[in-house]
Amino acid sequence: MRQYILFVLFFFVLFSFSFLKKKEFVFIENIPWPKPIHNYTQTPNYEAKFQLGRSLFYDPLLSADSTISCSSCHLSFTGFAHVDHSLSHGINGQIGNRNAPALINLAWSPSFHWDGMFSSLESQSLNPIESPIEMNMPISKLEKTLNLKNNYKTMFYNAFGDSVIDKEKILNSLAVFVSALVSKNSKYDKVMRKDKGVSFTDQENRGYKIFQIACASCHQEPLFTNHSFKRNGLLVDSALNDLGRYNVTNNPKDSLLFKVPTLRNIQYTFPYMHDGRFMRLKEVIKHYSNLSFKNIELSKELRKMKALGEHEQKDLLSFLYTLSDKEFLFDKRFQFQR
Amino acid sequence: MIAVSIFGQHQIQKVGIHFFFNQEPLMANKKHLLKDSFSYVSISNFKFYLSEIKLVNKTQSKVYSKSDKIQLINFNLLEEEKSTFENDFISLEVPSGIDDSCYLSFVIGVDSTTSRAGNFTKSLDPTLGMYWAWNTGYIHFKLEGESNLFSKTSPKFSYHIGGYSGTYATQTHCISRLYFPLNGENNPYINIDLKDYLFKMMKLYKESMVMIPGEKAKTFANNFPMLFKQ
Ligand code: HEC
Ligand code: HEC
Repeated sequence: MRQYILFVLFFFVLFSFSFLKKKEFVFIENIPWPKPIHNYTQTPNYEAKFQLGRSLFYDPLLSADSTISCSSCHLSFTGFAHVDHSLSHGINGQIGNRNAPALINLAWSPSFHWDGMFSSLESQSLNPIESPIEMNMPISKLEKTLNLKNNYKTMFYNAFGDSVIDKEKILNSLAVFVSALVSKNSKYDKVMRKDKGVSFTDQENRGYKIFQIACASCHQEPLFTNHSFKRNGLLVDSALNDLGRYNVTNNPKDSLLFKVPTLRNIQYTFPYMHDGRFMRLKEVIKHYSNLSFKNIELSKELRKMKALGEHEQKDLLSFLYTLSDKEFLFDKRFQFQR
Repeated sequence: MIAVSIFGQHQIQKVGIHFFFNQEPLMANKKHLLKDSFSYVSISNFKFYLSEIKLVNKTQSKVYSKSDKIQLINFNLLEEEKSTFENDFISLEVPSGIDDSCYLSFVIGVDSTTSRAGNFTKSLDPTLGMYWAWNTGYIHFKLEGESNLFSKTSPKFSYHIGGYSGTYATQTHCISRLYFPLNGENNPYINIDLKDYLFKMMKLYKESMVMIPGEKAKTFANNFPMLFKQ
């Protein structure tokens, strides 16, 4: 009997340890990464807020007719991009005018949306909820809806020490969840960290060199974006007529500039660009390989780029595949909890 | 294409799938001109799930063979992308000694149990672009392209037909009236011609985008059998 109790105790201790371990979530930097801008990990009840944010992220209650959740357009398995949808569709099947970007390492991002319209994750989150073509849910109505749900009242209590549900708490917990979507275990990261037994193939190495010369000035390591607004040589889609950054600043110099997106998990976040015009990564590389260099509207980083041959294009592609992080894409913590 | 190979007591019967637009072989992004030689339709993306594939007799009272596979048929794949799955053919194990005439029966789409289960392997991998979200499940059928019949300035059209619960489940049971003798000499195949189907849907809705479960999606699904030609 005594043995039995000891045995149970042992497992209890083991279990609570694994529980504790699951709870902590910190930014461990093995290679120099910049400090995150939106860092919530030190806020009280971080884990409760994370879980609440996750529940909200997957809940179609956030939309007027209870059909659309954040995950309708941001799918975990594809880096939270709207895979195979060039333009996103929201409530009643209405089509937006931009491609839903991946949600990866946004804790480091000074601005959000393709034109940098928002500077905090909280203000960003309000946008899809209230947008008439996305979720079409006035936030005051959402407050009322959630305040009638006992399970949410408990979750908000655990997260904020207060079961009254309001706009600030809703947006804050969504921000906590989204900021936790950190991808840093790709092959690239493992090679950079000098993990045992991981190295680039010759082809990946050649591709990395090309990348550093041709792409890294904008898609800067280790985040694979420098968060600036640039023009990468795309012709304007006359049907959408999207002027990009100009919409925010009204400065003619900013016309047709778009935010440099991260390239992490790029293999899975198709289609590509702000309007999802390219289905395949191959087509993107072709685009960069055949730029018209006389085009003065091209950002300066690209004006001196030399055309890439077929082999170089393949090498570059194989390097980009090393940015895929399956641990992140299939992380159960980020998925809908069945 | 190898039509039949001997496999123990069974034969493996391969059934190819051929794609057409108005009886012309379908080509990705090619402008298929219509009669007036001014209007066109081009297809950039066409894929759908095939499941519950069975070989049955005419009255469906006997099932000779069935497959547990859920296949993603994908018309527009590059050669190097083709290796992973059975993208443009069906293969079935067939017991020897059937002298009845056989019919192929299948469902277009993913059933609700599978949609709910969250088994994300093989053809159900969400990175293949056919998964919406936990509450809406899989897109059963996706057809995208361009046609100036919609609008000259924005000719794009997108049909994402899916849904698995409530009144709007859109999987339809579809018996294609396909007959093939099992003598091992023929290469049976299914013909899919998009024209009649697409035109009927365009007439009904005049809408270039149907991308959510609902009444419209259900009508789209109910008409799937029109796609299959002998
Ligand atoms: C109808 C589809 C849709 C829904 C629903 C949706 N989003 Fe988005 N999301 C988009 C699109 C499209 C963009 C890009 C918008 C732009 O640049 O103008 C975007 C951008 C974002 C960004 C900025 C990413 C970046 O790198 O700039 C975040 C963060 C985000 N969404 C979070 C959410 C959250 C949280 C929800 C739920 C409250 C949500 N989204 C619901 C389509 C959607
Ligand atoms: C001048 C800065 C700049 C350089 C240099 C640059 N890019 Fe980009 N890249 C951008 C911008 C800006 C976008 C978004 C453009 C848009 O959507 O309008 C982008 C988009 C992309 C995308 C699509 C990402 C997505 O999520 O949709 C890929 C892939 C990409 N670039 C790869 C590369 C590669 C490979 C190179 C090197 C050959 C490169 N880029 C060089 C600025 C740059």
